[in-house]
Amino acid sequence: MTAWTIPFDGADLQALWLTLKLASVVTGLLLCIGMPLALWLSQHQQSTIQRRCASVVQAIVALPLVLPPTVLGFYLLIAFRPDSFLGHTSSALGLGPLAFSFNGLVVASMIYSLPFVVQPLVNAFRSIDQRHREAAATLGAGRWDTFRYITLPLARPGVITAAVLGFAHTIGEFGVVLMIGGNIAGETRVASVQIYDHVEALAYPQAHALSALLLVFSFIVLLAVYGRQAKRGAQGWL
Amino acid sequence: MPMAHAPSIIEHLKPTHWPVARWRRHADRYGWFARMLFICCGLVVATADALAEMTGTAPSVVSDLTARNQVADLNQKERVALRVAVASNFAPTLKALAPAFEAASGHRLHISAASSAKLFAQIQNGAPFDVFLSADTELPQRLIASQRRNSPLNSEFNSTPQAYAYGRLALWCRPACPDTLDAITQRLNSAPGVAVANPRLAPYGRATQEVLTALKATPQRLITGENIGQAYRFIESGNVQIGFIAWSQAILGQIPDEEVWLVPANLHGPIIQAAVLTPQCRYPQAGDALLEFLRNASAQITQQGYDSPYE
Repeated sequence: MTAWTIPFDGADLQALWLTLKLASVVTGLLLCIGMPLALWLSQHQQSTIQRRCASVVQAIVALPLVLPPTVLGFYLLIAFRPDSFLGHTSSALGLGPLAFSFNGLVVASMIYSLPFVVQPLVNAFRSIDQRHREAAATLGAGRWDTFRYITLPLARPGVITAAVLGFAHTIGEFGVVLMIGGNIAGETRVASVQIYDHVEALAYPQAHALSALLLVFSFIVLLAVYGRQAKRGAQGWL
Repeated sequence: MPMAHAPSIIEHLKPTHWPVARWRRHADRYGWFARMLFICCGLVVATADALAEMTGTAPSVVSDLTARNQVADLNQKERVALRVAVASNFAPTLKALAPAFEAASGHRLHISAASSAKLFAQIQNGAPFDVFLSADTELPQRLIASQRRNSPLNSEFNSTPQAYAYGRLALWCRPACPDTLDAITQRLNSAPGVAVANPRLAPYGRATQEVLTALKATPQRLITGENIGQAYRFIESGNVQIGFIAWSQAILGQIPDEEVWLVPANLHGPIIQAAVLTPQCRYPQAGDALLEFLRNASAQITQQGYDSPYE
C-alpha cells in the first residue's frame, strides 16, 4: 500500500450534511408539535369521553413504533401521490410534490419519529406534581407563563431525552427514506442510504469510512448532550 | 443417618425443606472450578477457530468430511432439495419454471430472491446456497475468483458462469407512449422526473444510462430506485409518470400495450444474466441439472420477457 487515502468524497459529506439537516429540522418541528400534544395527553382527563379520546390518540401516536419502516414508506408513497389528499394539500401550501423531495422526507420522518418524541414528553409532564401548577395558578400565572417558568424547567430532562431520541432516530432512518426518497443527491440521499449504496455496490472501504464517521459524530453529539446534563446535575437520563 | 463428610456452612443456611439432590448440595464448592474449565475450553476452541480462519487453512476437518460425504452420496441418483439464490428480477420466471424442473429431474427447488449484490455478499460469507442466479456476469466471476484465492486446493469446485438470460429494457409512459424516437426523447426531456434504477447498483440501471446517452435525452430529474423493482413501484404508485422498467416486469404486471415501449436491444449493451454453482454447493450434479434445464428452457424464458442465449 503506497498511500493511505481516506475513501471519502464530496458526495459522502453531502449525504452527511443532508442527514444532519433533516434530523435538526425534524426534531425542531416535532418538539413544537409534540409539546402541546404531550401536555394534553399528560393532563388528568376530566370526563370519560376525554379519557377515551386521549387513549385513542396515544395509541395512534405509538403506531409508527409497530409498523416496519419499509411498510410505512410504502404506504406513504401511495399517500403522497399528486392526486391524493396530501398531494393537493402540499401543492396548495406551495411545498410542491412530496415524494422524492426534502419536504416529503421531513413529513415522513416526523410521522416515523413521532412516538420517540411524544412519549418521553408525556412521561416528563406527567411526573410534574400538579401542585406546582396549582400554586402558579393561585399566584395569577396564565397558561403560557406556567408552561414557560414552571412546567418546562421541571420537565427539562424529559425534553432533552425526547430531542435526543428524535434526532438519533431520524439520523438512523433508512427504510422510509429508501421507499420515498428516490436517492436524489443533495435532496434525499441521506447518509444511511449512501452507506447502503456503497455496500450494494461492493465498495466496502467507502461504506466502512462513512459508517465510522456517522457513528463517531453521533457519539460525540450524544456525549455532549448527556455530559451537559450530568454536569448540571439533572436527574433524568435515558 | 451417618454423614459422609461435614456439611459446609452453606448447607446450614439452606432451608431443609428444599428438595435438592445430594450431589447438587455441594455443587457450589466445585462450581467455580467447573465454570472456569468451561470458559477456558470455550476460549481455546474459539482461538483455534479464529487462527485457522485467519491463516487460511482448509476448513475444519468436520465440515470437510461431511462435504465429501454429501458429494459422494450424489453418485447415486437421488432427489435433493436444491437451494437457489436468484436475483429478484428473475425470481418470478424461475418460480414459474420450477414445477417443470421438479417434474423433469425430481429435485426440489428452494428459491430465495434478493438483489444480486446482497446475495453475493451472503454467499461469500458462507450462506447455504447451491446455485447463484445473478443479474449480471461480474458477480459470479468475482465469486469464483475469490474462491480460487481463498482455497486453491479445492479442485472439486470448477464451475464457470453460464449465461441463462439476456435482460430487456422497456419504457413505461403514462398515459400513452409515443411511437417515434424523437417523440420519446422529447417526452423524456419534458417530464418532471424519470424513474430509473441506480446505474451504480443495477445492470438495468447501467443499460438505462446507455439508452439515455444513445437517445441524447437529458431528463430534468432522475428519480433513482435502488433496483428496477423500485423504479417500477415509483411509476405504479403514480408519483412518476415515465420511467424505465424491465420488459419482464411489463409482461408480469400486464401493463397495457400503449403504455409500454420495448427498447431496441441495439441502444444499450447486452444485460447478460449469468448463473454459477456456489463454492458451498452440496449437490453439484443437481446444480448442473438446473443449469442444463435453463439452457433448454429458452422458449419459456423468452415468453417471460427475456432473450435467451440459446435460441
